[in-house]
Amino acid sequence: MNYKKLFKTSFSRIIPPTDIDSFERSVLERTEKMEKRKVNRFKKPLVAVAAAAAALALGVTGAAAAGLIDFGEIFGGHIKTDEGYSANELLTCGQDISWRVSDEDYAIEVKGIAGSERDVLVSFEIVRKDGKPVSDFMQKLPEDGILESMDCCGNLYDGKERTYSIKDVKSYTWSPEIRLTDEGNISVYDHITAEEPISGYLVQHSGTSFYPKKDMDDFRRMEVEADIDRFEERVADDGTTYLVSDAPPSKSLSLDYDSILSLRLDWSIEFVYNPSEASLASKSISDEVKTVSIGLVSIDKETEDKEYFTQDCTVTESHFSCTGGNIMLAFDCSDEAYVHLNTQSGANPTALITADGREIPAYIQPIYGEHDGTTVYQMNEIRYSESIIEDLTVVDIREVTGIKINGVIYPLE
Amino acid sequence: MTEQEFSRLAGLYRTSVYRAAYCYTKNSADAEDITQEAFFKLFTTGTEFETDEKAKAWLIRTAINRCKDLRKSLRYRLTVQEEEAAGAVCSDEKAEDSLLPLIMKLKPKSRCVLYMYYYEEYSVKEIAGLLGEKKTTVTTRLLRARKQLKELLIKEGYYEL
Repeated sequence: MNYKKLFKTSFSRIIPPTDIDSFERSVLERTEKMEKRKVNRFKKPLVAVAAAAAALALGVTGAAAAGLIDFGEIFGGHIKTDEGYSANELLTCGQDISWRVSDEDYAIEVKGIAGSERDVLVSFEIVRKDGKPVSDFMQKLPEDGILESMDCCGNLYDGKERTYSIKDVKSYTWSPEIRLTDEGNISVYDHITAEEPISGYLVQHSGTSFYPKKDMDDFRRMEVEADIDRFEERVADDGTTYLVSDAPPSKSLSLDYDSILSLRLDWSIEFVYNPSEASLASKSISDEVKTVSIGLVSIDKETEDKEYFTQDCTVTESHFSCTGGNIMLAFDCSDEAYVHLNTQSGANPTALITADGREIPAYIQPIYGEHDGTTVYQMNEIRYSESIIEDLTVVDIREVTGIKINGVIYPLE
Repeated sequence: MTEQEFSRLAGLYRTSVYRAAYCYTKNSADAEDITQEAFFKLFTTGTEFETDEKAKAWLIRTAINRCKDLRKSLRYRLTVQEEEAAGAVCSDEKAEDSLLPLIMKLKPKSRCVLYMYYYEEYSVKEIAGLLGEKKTTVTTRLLRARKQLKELLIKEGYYEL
């Protein structure tokens, strides 16, 4: 059977569990319930504001707008792109940086490093020593003139072997992000999070073999839209596997493989993380604040019906540093329903408030919850960004005086 | 939006939206709920569209965004993933002439892209628009999904080396 037909047949087997009449009725009933709930809500105190996790959709602008972290701004231009690096007084760290690239044509430029005791943000660029854009040695689609190499960068970064080594720190995670800069170079932005403090430790970040040929082949395949049954898998010299199709190569791609293969390079960055006083500064929600008003959603275990509401939750723990924070909330939950933070968008985004009145967007993300009878204790991560997928913002927490949640500002001390 | 218009669009696109949501969530109840939410939003916000196709795209995009929210939620982490781990599938997935059981072993984003590309016949560019991703990201995801599917087909004996 033709694979496209097989896909069609397969997906057509996904059938909604209810008939169309029931479906329409359910949606219309929801509408009615919403109207009733609106009326009820206005009768309650503290309801003037929409769901707190509204927090999550920010429309807010300000100093911390979305976009890649501007390390140049953070470090006041004290960026060295050669043998070493020194940061300004705000977030001093990353001293004694050294980097190594085996390919003579390429270099790594460290753009900046910042972090708190458990987080390190690293930004660097892969450049060519001759000043030509790295992208010139990658892929362009001549048909519309659009540079399409960014995702290739991501692929080759994903595909290469890479390691982090943080001495004596047992558990850590990292989330890399690859971008193509305006200049056409590869910008790498990494966020390392460790469960234990990493202050003062040696961090080694290394990768090998940027090897985009496979990706180029893949893209060539896609151009001809070959069916899956026309692929066969082959093993490259370096042991990696790649797909080959008997379909003719696309004429829209003109690739210079020799040039592309020259992009292969081994590299590593090593630095000692020595955070400054500003990096280690932290604040908590004032002890005088016993509860915060926050948006929750209750999901009935039997019917899966949802109810969105705002509730005062007890703050049992909170911590804010320059790269993020967390807050432990306790709230009641009946055995018949799951209750958790409402992460849907709303009208009152969360934000840090600085002494001069600026609002820095923040995002609350549930990490885990524990039941204790009818009470849920939920740990929530707070990131200084518009959403969980947006770039993080580094802030000097000493300048922050409060956090706005669900329209209410709670003081930080 | 009138109830009549709502009913018309529900009749046209409810199944498509449900399938997209099911591909992402792999859970019938969640997919149905998310489909309802998408249409609920359409009905209550009164959004107007130039063409039915644009309404369909909006509904699918809304449903996918809701799927993403759901995956981040605590309840999903605590419950749905367990159901997935237990291999919960609907009976229709098990038909012999269907790739569905294997497709459902792929990652949510891969399943979703395959559905939109092969079933809904959206172009890579259109899928990129729907998912808020770059064209190349969708292309790569599609390619990887097909590769992974091929590996599964080989493993299950459907495909000879």
